[in-house]
Amino acid sequence: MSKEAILSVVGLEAGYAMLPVLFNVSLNVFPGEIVAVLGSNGVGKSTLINHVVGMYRPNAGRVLFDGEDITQEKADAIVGRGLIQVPEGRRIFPNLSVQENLTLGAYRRGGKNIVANIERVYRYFPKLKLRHEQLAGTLSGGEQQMLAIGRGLMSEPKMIMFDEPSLGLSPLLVAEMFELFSRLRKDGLTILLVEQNLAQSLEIADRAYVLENGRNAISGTAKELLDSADVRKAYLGM
Amino acid sequence: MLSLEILLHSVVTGLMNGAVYALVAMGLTLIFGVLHIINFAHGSLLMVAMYGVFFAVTLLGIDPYVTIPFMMVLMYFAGYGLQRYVIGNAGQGRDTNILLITLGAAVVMDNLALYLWTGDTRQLQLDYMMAVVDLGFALIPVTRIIAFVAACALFVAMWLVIERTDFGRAMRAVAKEPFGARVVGIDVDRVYAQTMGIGTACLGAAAALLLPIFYVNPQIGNVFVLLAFTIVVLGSMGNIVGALVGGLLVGLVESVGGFFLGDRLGQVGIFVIFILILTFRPQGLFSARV
Repeated sequence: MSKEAILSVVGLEAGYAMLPVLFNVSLNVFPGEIVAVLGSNGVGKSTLINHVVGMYRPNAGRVLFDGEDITQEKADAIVGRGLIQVPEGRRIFPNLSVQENLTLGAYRRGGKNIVANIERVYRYFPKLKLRHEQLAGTLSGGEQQMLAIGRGLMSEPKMIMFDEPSLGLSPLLVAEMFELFSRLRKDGLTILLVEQNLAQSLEIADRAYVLENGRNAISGTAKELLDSADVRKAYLGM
Repeated sequence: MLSLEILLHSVVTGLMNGAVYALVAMGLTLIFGVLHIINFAHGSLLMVAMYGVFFAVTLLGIDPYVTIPFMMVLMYFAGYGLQRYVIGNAGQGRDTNILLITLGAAVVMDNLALYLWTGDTRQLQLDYMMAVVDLGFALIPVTRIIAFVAACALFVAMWLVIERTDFGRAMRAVAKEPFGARVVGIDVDRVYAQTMGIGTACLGAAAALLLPIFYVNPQIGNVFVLLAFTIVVLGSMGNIVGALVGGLLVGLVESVGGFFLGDRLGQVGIFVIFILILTFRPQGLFSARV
């Protein structure tokens, strides 16, 4: 791929208080790709996402989005640039209605195209339309995940980062979710997918990075990783 | 029957006082609901606002009700600054720090007021303060009617802001899910400061409405903040409709209690209710919701 990366993470070092979590992590995502960041629980995947979107400040390293350095930028400004995360645990607003949740997804856009974008989200997730007046906290786990994704789409992002979207969902819903990611990519989005679920992630991803103990371990195309004896043995139990 | 008339009179007076109590409590409950802060400085900020109105009237010759918009703006910035530059910085997100900062701010303000303006109790002298309106069953001072109507109007305005505007939605989102709010690009620290500002602006209005029917001295904040805390717990912490209902109820109980027990014991009823609520329904009459 000769195009310029839409997202570059270069030598990121990060942690919480006195506890270092990430050591010299680097990755690139090119426009239109689905890139998976894989690894077992506690390896620093969510920490990586949260430092990329400005929820926390990294100790060292740089984050470039769309050719600009966003390492020191605030979370709300980064949303405005078109980079959004769908966080682990969904983090929807339980005390607000489904429609209000979606409306707030467009908060940085100051209400532009809001009606059209809500309709677009309802086309992806017809179930949400049926429940648009319901409080988000009363939705099922799968519906809450749809709402979290829909809320992310409301910001008209160029790139979405999904943090463990399959967590707590039934296998059927997980399959639906992964299908949706392919659809979103077809519709022009770039996707970074953080997952513990290696097998399914590698089915839809173009490339993947495997993290171990907060460090880059293995990377390559999805096919290379699926064919790699190390990956198969360590993560796929084959 | 004379006594029925007096009872009706005290019911009306109670509701009118209650609306202003509700305004003070609404600020407190809003701050608690969104920032999860017990703001001990609330009463002192009210006291400062009341002095502000007092001097605007006595030194500048402005009508107290005309000061409302100015006082609201001034108090908004006082609250905004308090959160952004004092609590936000020094609190470091720890409840104990924040508690002590608001308590400390209250002590500083109370003593500064004592130093600058002495402990004298001051009252406004305005020609329309003696005017009454005949409601048919009761003669009510104009000043109380203005306070009641203005407090209710402000309450409705606040409710509309919270329920219908983008800012209100952001405030409710931040109240329950600050992380998710940052994810969608809401500047949470700013919303905290704005909420503190709005909660404090309520005091600017309350001060202007209270001064013509009350008095001001450096301890006046305590009188109202105690009532406000009772109302906030009564109406479920963080629930602004609860603050209105709680405020009216407290005003009513105080006034009718005064009718039966005498002025000195009028407030006993409030605290009896408070204790009953804490014992049997500690979550308050409503559910907590900003």
